[in-house]
Amino acid sequence: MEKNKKIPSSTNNPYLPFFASIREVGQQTSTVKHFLVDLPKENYPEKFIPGQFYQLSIPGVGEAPISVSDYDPINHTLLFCIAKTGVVTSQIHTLQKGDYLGLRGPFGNGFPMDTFRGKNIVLVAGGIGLVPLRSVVEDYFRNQDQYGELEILFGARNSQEIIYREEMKQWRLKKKTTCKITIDKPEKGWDGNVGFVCNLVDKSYCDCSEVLFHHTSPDQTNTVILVVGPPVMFQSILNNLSTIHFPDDLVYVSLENHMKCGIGKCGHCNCGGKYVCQDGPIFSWKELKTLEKEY
Amino acid sequence: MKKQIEQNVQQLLTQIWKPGDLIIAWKNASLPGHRTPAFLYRKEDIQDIVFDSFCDISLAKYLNERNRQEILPPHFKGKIHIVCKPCDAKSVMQTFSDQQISETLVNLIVVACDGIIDRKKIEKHCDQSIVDMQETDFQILCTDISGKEYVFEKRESWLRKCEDARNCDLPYYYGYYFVGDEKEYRTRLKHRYQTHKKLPQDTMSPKELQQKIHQELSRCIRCNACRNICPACFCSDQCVFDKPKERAKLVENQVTTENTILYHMIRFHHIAPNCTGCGECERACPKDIPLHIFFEYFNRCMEEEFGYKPGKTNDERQKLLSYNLGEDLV
Amino acid sequence: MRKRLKINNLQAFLQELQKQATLIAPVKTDAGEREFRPVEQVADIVLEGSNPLRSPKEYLFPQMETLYTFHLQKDGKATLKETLHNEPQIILGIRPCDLHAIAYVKEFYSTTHQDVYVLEKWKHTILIGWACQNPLNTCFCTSVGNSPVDSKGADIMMAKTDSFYLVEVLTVKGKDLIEKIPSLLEDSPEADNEVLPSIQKQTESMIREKVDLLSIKGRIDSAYSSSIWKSYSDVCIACGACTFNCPTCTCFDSADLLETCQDGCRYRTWDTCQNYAFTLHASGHNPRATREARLRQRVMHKYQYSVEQLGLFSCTGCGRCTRSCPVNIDMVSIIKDIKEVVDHGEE
Repeated sequence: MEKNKKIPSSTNNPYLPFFASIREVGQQTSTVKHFLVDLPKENYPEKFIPGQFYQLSIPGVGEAPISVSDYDPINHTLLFCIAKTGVVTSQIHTLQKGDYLGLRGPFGNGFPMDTFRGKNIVLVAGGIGLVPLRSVVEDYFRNQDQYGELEILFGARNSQEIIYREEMKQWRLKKKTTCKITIDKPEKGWDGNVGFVCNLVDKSYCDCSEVLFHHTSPDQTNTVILVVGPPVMFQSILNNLSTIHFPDDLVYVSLENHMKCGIGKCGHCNCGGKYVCQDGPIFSWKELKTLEKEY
Repeated sequence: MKKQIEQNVQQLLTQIWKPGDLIIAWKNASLPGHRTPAFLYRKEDIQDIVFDSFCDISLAKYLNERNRQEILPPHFKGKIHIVCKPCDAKSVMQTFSDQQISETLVNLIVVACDGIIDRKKIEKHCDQSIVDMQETDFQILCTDISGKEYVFEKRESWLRKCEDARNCDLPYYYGYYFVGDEKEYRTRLKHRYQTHKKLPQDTMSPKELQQKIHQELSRCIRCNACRNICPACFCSDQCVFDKPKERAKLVENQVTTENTILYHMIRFHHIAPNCTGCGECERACPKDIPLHIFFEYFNRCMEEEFGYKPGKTNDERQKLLSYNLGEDLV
Repeated sequence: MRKRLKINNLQAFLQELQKQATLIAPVKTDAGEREFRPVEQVADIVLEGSNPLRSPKEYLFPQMETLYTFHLQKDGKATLKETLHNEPQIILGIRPCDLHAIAYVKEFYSTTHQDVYVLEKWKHTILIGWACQNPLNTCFCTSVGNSPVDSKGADIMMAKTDSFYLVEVLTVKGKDLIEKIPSLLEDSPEADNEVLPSIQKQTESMIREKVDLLSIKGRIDSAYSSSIWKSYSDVCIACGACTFNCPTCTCFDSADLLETCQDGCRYRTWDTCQNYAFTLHASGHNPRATREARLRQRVMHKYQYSVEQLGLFSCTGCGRCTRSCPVNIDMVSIIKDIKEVVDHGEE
């Protein structure tokens, strides 16, 4: 053990962000913007799984975990869709094309897409919850022949807060794809569904899920349901699903516990024996039942 | 004498307790010299109540809005009987003044107290861990694990706050039960006032205060024990130090001496109009920082500037937060 | 390898250690406390007496630590500079409870994403244990399966007897250090085998109570919905004194600090799960909004969740939580209640 004065450094420090330049910025709603960033060559992810997230940072302001909307494996771009909620996200909203964002990731387990092969996929999203699910949608369209049908059930607070408006129009046109939107309260000029998104998985609701209820022979084991939204919303979805005895290992939920480090060290997202950032954020309903209700 | 008071408290509570009421008092904890808050809902539990020279914790803290929400069972309709030393009774008064709880909900039971022992001071003087700690009228008797016995004079082992007669005032409030001889207590207090000697905080100049602050607060580990135990701190979850996201960042989380001093300076000023000098902050501090001295300093400033001492009555308007038309602007 | 050190040679031995690296040991501070501090004068070192209230954890995982400094460029890109510390240090006089704690902290930070800040420091630290002969009335190391002389995690273990110090060298790191120190040490005869067991016997007899938690290891989650938590959380004031003095608490908060318009750093500080804002979601929802949930989280993390994650109790029985609690909540009575509930169910 020599007293050496050399400044140490490590090539494998999970706390160090890298910087990526913003290629495109777009307004989704009044409080949500999307950002397309170019990844530098040395920071291409070895493997990206839909549902994973990055820690976005602005030096001097802070860090926030943001789900990836899409990773384009050809152009190596990441798409983020960010709602203005706190200090960091507000600051990110001021960034323009050509600015740099600090990134760490990808973190989290993501959706087990391999196990979805050959199955119908039902996505249930509340508000900004559609963001991580979009990466599933993109993965679905890239390998559509490997999956069954896709159904997107989306609930927004009002018609102004519907994100991915244009994209959804495109998705609707594709084969084997349905897309249902509902808003919380009636609105002038809105002739679509009104009510919470949990209605769409309720059999008694008139415009409920096609895949789950309207197929000639709804085979539950051939369908997976992915739910992303605030805890109140996914609880009511799970309640609805339990009334139709939907198998709990085919439902996946994303938790959104408070996270800081993203690598299971800082302890903020600890929930039972799991660290949501590392062992999650995606949990099957079955796992969720064994977890302490602290999410 | 305290044994007698303890029995009288139990007797009184047996008389005034009604089903559905809550009693907040002290009970024995498992370690020698440790007493812990007790929340009692049953008549048969009243016999667990203790009162002696080791009942250092102020129970007034548990009356404030947020704490009550956590402690009380849903649909609680009863009264809260709270046992207090005179110093804590002032904190209860301040809790009333701050409108944290309605007076009609509370039965205040003030016990005659002749001082509380600073357990940490005693533990420091023992070589080994203590297995037994008892009190007599004037002494504390300890036994350590090796069987060695220690005798401490009580008058040399008081908590710092108990050395100051001003903290032992009874509040101007008609609605409390007094357990013990009130007349004798007041006479004793008067005598203590006459023989009162100046304490460091009474003569400290701003310069000395500053020096002392620098010297002592550098040891702070920012565990927030002083804030959370403080009966006057009722912002709880809404505290400025906890929500940097939503407000201007008052203090960085970074634990440096500057930030720590800033943290405490904000507290000193913020608490000054509510601080009754109960000394809980100092007692709670795991690093034994003499916070009481600092708060007393600010208390003195309050008294000199506004002629106001928090906790005297149950409906005092906070002098730093209120203004009467025509009032002199200092 | 086992050696003896003459009582008279202790000061010389400590001076030799000090020459090798920064020596950290319990010293008496101006405020009259004993604390682990970098030693200036070896004469200040006080090895005997009760364990200091602050554990030596902070020399591997400091309360505040800069992760990196940055310099902002015009385009918003920043150049980062990692601030890793790897100055060699020797920590002396660590009780077995704290040795276990350091071993746990190291284990915790080594899994999956390695925390280079802690591990780098650990690599350059030599841990010298000290067989405990002065337990406090708050101590309960035997309850969680430790013993007052257990040397797990130590590079060198020391023990005091009436006539000499026993120095047991346990790792390569320890051996390298001892070999650099010239002939202060003597060979230890066979009879010294008895030193540690006899200290163990004596110290364990002084520990107030043993609650056998090992027998319910892994099953403690069955106490999750028990009513015991409420009886403690009513009293609890949700400060962080227990967590900030705990030798195994690993949670931290991180934030950015701008010193000038262009230069700043990201740092981390200890954080406490007892704070309301600890789990507060951005949406305003709080999964552990009550003190009951937070107190349970702390206790369950020590005895259940860390067992699920690493197979270890993350409580080493040092009793610092009880020592520092302003409202006298006693960890031993909590674990007694837990054991009762796990073994016999709720009454």
